[in-house]
Amino acid sequence: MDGNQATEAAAALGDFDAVFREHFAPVYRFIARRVGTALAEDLAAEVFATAYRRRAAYQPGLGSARSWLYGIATNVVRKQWRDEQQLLELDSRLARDSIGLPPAAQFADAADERVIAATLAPRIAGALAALNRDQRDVLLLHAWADLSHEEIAAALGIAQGTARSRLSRARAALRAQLGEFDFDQWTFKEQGHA
Amino acid sequence: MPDEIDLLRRFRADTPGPDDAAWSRARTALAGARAGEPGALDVPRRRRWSRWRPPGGRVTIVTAAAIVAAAATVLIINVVQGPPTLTGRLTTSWEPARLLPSGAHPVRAPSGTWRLMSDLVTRGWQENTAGPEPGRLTCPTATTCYVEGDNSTSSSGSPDWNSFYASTDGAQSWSVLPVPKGITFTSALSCASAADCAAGGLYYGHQPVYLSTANGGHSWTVRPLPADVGQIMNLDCVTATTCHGLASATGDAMSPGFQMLFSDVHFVVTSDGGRRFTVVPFGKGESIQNVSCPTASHCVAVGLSDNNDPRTGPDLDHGVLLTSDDGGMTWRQHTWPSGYGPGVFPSVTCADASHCAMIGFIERNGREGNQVGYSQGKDAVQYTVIAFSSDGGVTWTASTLPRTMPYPMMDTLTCPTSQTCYAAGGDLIAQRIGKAENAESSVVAVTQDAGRTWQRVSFAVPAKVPGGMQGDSFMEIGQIQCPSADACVAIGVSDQGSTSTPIYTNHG
Repeated sequence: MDGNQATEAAAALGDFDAVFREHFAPVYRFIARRVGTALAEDLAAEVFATAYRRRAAYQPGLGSARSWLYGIATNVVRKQWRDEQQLLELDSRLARDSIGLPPAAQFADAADERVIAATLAPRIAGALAALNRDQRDVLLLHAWADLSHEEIAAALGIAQGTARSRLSRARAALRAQLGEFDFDQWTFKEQGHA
Repeated sequence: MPDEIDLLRRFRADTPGPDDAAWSRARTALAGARAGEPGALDVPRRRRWSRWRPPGGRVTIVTAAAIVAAAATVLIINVVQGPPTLTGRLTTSWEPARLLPSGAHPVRAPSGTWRLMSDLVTRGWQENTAGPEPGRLTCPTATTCYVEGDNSTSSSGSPDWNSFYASTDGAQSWSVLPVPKGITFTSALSCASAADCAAGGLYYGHQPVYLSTANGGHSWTVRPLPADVGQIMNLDCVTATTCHGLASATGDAMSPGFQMLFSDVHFVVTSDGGRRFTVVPFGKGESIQNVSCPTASHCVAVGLSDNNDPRTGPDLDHGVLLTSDDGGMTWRQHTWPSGYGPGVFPSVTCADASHCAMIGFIERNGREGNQVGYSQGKDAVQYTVIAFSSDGGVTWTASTLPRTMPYPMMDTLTCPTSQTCYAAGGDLIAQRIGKAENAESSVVAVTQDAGRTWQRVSFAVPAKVPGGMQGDSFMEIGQIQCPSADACVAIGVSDQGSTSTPIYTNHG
């Protein structure tokens, strides 16, 4: 029995403590990445309290405990749509407010990915802010929670085909918003010409 | 080669995990939930409810005992009896409509052009919507339209289609009408006239029912469905009492709003207003999702093959195509057209026994030229085409939408005549409304020659996002209805945080 199966069994048997211990940290971090750490503490607690109260409704056949918890987390985050949007717009504005952004060439041999990520963050934030919430949900469940199509479908209560199609659409929309990004250089082409 | 998902994974990657305070807070909330304390879930929000105090500020033992006994009785009744079950016909009393306040100011535009006509504004309208679908729009005439909306407040459930809105002035103003207690719609409303309509529903989330109204939703008749008719997912009424549609085989294990593909779908017909049904099963492996019967005898059905890989979902590239010439009693299978698939929820509509149209779905790997799409990954590029048939749905020809719509994802299609069809949805066309930057735009395309040529409809959008709406309300059109070739109404898609939904029209 692997870890996931053990958790499923624990959930089915009502050992909610095991579920909590295994999943709280990643669910908290998922929420914190979306709405910030200030809100994450409350929202993550709400997710697990909600899950506990609704544990009788959990059906292992419809999806793993992990996807079920991320589904609740997504719905809880959705209530905070305004905070999430404001955070994305704030991050996005940093780009316009930044002065003297380092040119791409300086990143050619950069080892510190955090510097790269920080430089790209405003563009990514702007692109994420332009997506609709359905697209953003599937995209972030996939990228940040590592959920598969099947798990996303179970988490959001949508058909698998819908999850697959919505994810593809979200990726295309994100790509379109990002413009021409050079994945070899890890920078935007227009930055390189700046 | 890394892609945009890898890029996304680096965004806010330095976000820390929970500290001791977060763990402690979660444990406290969990302990509160365990103890079943009222308001325990509100603890995390640092909200304190004022404690109820009896008059005089004292609670006697007798009073306390009575309260405890009453609460226990209610709890026991709910646990033991379960949700209510309907054993016979239920008719609700006539209820007045409540006019909703007008929200956004209509956008000025020349007569005959598309524009934002009005919007639905109420605290209940799609408040706390958790699902992806727009309100289901039905317009039996150019002046009368109905919308089933979502009024769910659950934080962990799916949307509940339990709101009902009506307009009798061409979608310019809207009223809200009560839905019978415990009812959630499971199909769009179908109307044989402006006031005679019917729909499928669930009673208290578990019992499939048939709903009908003879006065535009002011009162309803609710009938439990026979045991061999499950949840109605599609209904088309040709008279006030004669309807056909699609239903699952049983009502078990259904969840209102849970958007799943039913693999065991039957064709159902009633000719007495939902009292009795004729049930026709489809063939094995045929997961039929949509049917159109332009005459009493001819029907066209489309669906998916249900022998799919559970890890990846259904095969969206190869569909199931059936026709019937005896009112759906027997069905003939045809080869699915090449070049496109049925998509997630295939849609077909027939203007007459010969002329039909459907939304086709194309997906392929890789990058789409130098436009959008990403450089690697399976099924990276997806968009829709509209296909037409002039032989009653047997053979089909795909029609390409205008080049001004590079990656259309059409959700809805309606053909008021054999030559005129409207398709609506969203496209990867960035737009700005006020300060809101959106990655997609609502699109409508019209053909007046059965798909040989298309025009993208231009319609005005507001200079800024109206109050009560979010920018994504304008990124997609969820439903379009055209009672006649020159009179259409379309509804946008709104989500959490929106208390209204844009309504578009080309008339009025």
